[in-house]
Amino acid sequence: MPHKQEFSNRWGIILASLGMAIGAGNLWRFPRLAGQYGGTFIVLWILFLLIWSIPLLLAEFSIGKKFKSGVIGSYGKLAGEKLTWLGFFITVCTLGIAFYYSVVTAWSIEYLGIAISNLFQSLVSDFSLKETLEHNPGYLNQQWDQLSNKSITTVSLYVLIIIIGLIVVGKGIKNGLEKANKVLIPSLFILLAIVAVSALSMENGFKGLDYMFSVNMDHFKNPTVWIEALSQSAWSTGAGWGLMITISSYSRAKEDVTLNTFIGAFGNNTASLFAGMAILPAVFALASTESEAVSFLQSGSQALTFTIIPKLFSQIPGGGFMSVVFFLALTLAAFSSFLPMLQLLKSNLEQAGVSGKTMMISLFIVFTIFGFPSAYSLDFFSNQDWVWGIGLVISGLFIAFATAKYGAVRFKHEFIDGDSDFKVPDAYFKYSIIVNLFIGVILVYWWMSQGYSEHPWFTPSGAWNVLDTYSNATIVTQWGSVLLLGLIINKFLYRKFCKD
Amino acid sequence: MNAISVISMVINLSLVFGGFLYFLLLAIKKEKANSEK
Repeated sequence: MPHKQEFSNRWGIILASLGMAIGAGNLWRFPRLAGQYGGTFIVLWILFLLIWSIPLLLAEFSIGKKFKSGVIGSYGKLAGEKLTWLGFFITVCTLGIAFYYSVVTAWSIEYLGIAISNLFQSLVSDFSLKETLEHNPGYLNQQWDQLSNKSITTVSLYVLIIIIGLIVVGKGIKNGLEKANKVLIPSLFILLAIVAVSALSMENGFKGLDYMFSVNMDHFKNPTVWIEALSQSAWSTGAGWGLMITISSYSRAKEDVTLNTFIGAFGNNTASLFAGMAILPAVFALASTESEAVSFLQSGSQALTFTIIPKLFSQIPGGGFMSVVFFLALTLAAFSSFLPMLQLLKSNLEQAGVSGKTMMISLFIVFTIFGFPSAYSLDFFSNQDWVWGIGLVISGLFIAFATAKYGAVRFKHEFIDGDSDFKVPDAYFKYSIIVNLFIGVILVYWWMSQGYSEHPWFTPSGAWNVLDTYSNATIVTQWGSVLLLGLIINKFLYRKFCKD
Repeated sequence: MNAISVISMVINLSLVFGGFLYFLLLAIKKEKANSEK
């Protein structure tokens, strides 16, 4: 049964696609990579926006608009009965991300609370995070360890996030997702602009911009820069997640595909550039030396957002306020990306005939059970990030494959061009889809070979290394289980989700 | 900031932020035209 709800206008769907795309990756991963590899990275990141992200987003937008179904139903209707299980994989992959991504939202809120508390204490008492760090340099790491492992507060906040998310999506598309994004997205851009202006006004602030935009021709010869630019574009824009299929399945019948997709994609990249212009000047202004600034940027995972940013902002007058603004922006970004993930499962369940209270209870139970391990254990969180983060590229490949199988040019003429205010050239769409099939395979190989060197397929005793957080064995086992299950229940999936 | 970084910043911002504004204004224009029909 096609969805009956619709966004009220073009802006509703644009804000939803911006909310979906702009997340924690824009606010931390992008500035980190832009600082490390400079303008070279940015040039390649723009290139991959055009080659990988926009063609996939165009395909996803038009698939959702055409079939007005959840991801499984839409994919099955496009690719045919025998391939419905590929849509099942895309759905499970994005849900795998949703279950741990909601934990990022919970952490963001926790740190927003901490930033507010620090600011308040510094105003009413002698508390100073800077002095605390001078006495105990490991203070922020200890705080992070407490919150990310076996923390009842984190688990409680995680459950609260799910409840708030369910209240929003439970109100429907117009009164839920659309209204929430009207507040979340403009607020996010304003907050980023505040941090950027504040950071640029610091002494040495412009040195960060210098690093961010300087072009080093040698970096073009470094494959890592190419792969990082591609993966950043792929994950940041949400191309291949199936989330755009979900959002556009609620579009109006005559909705423009091309222009709306371009606004969403370029808007997402604008948010990334703003974030870079906010974070990098702050890093360079506050680090004691340039090498210290660079080492900050090269240090590891997204989780370090929570230890480095408070440290940076603790060094300056007014930093307590900026810390609050940054974590508020991070919370809004994370929450606006979490909502379409909830909507993705909701729309699939709707298609399976679940509705009303049963729907809400089912969503709550599923998210609570499957997200709990990531909220409770950082190792489990990291494993899921590793497995489903790379899985997204497979999802993107499946979407490119279905488009190529249908005939890229035929697909474009029938699905994309009809109501679009402007049209991209046929050759651009066709060759991008074909090139993406190769790019996707190379990207997966690169990621898995990265893990292979340190995390072998088998343990020293010869056992399948499935329990290692970062092994290829854990990836293949989890992907394989989902693909096998999808294959086994393929006929059921087609009957349940694809027949109106 | 050195000159190359400034030129790179102007080009990148023009492409990304400029592109975003261009498409946004185009959409506003289209919506206005549609509402006047």
